[in-house]
Amino acid sequence: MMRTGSGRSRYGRWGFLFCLPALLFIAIFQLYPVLFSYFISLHEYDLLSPPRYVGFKYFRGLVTDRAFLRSLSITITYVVYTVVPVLGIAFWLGWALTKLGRSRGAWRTLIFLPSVMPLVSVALTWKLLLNVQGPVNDGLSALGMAPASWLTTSAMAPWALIFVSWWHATSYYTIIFLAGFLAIPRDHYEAAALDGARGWSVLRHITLPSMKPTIALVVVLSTVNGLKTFAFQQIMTDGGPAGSTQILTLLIYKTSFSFLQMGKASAYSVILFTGILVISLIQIWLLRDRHA
Amino acid sequence: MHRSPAERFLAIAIVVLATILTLYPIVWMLAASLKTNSELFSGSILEPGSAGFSNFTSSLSQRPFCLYLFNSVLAALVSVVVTVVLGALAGYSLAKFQYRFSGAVSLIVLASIMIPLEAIVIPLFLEVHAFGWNNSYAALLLPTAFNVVGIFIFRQAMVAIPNAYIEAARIDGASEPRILFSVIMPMVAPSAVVVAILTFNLSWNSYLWPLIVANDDSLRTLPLGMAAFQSAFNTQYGQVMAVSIFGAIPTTLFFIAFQHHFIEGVSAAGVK
Repeated sequence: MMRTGSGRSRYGRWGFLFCLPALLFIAIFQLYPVLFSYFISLHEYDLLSPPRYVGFKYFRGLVTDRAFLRSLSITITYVVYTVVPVLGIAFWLGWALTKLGRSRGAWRTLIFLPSVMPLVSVALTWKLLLNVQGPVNDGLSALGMAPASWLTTSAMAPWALIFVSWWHATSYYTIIFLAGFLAIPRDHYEAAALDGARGWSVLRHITLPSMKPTIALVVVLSTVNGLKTFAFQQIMTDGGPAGSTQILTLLIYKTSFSFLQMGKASAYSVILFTGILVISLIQIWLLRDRHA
Repeated sequence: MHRSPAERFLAIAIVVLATILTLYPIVWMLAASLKTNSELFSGSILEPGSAGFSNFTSSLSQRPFCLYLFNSVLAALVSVVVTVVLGALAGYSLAKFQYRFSGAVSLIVLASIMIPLEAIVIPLFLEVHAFGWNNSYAALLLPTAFNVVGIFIFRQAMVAIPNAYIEAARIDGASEPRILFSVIMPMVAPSAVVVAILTFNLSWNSYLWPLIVANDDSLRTLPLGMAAFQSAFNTQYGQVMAVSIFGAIPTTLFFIAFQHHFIEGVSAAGVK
């Protein structure tokens, strides 16, 4: 990285000053809360009486905490069934977009629309689409399939939320894949064509290897975003029916702000934070690899 | 690029199918907002409804949606200003200065990107409570105002600017802040637009934090107002859709006006 030659001695003071406001914001609203959450997780605290130190009680309790374990498994299921299909759909859709000529821009705009819609609008619309008498069931009946109680039975609700996340997330990652496909240098393809490569073999030997970093990035981004999902579940099912869609963020929210068990909820938060941290570190490692 | 007709046909089929699936819910939302409750779940979406704009007028007047809109716009603007100003300053510092703690500073900034709001809402709430910010705009606006990703977008753009510009300005006697605002900022204006759009969108979708701090109805942002309307009037389907559209109008207009920057902001993640 280039820096001004004499920067260190004469101008370094300015460099530090320029960073200071951002550092203050980060320290007050991010770093301090992280440290504070470890502190709270070691205390019993209900906002009404002063915090009482309980050591690692809440962390030890996690392994037998049925609400937590159930929520953890719901979260992992949600993330896996969101990330894998979205990765596949967005990859092929991005690929298909590269094959279109001048009309590509217009299709790209239409496909990007779900990412522009506010999350709450998406949640409210899908809540109606998935209504027992709603259009999704009408469509299924027209195809000769059985309608389902999507959001009101614990067997279907987790799947309904997964379907909605496909609709919502695919658009965003398609654009990332499209940018990745378009960044592959043309001469790679020309060289392959001279060697007589066609169709699948171009895809396997040229496209896929070049797309590896983009695929890795999308996996990481969509996993982190999946773990952080909150609004869809809170609005469409509020974690129900019977807790079947209670992902970790919602469990944390309810444990802290409905049941006022701040210590316990902070222990949950520490676990969620650690999970996201590990995945983010993988992301940094992947991105560093690409700059080298 | 070699294109076989079969490949091209397959590509067009995939794109058309995906576009139909993408647009269907949006078209349904628009159509439903113009229908009465009884028309809504019967017949095709293409049949025009007889409700006119009555769903809009009745729903938007039942709750203070103009106030919610004001709060959302205020939150988004505060977030954009904080992020562009602090992000440009810190991005410049990371791109062009070396000082005693510069390594530590970039590490702290990098670490802060990995801290998800969803995992720190409890301590953040207690902190805001300790500041005495209960039920105030400060609590609603400030803790989530700064989008740290802005630092990286600015840094990336500023690293590419040759140092000669900075050195020439110094020789001309310009002060350091002056160099940043008069020389560097005009050069990274496109990045500033990308940062502003990303941050606006992030703030517009902000749901969890306002849900925790906005206990008073007068502090509610649009997403909260929309969700609250739905829980109160959940059988007024046409009205719920009208409210959904109302919340989607600002970002959609924004998208139409700055389409190129939106797509660039997303694409940047995939290529850089």
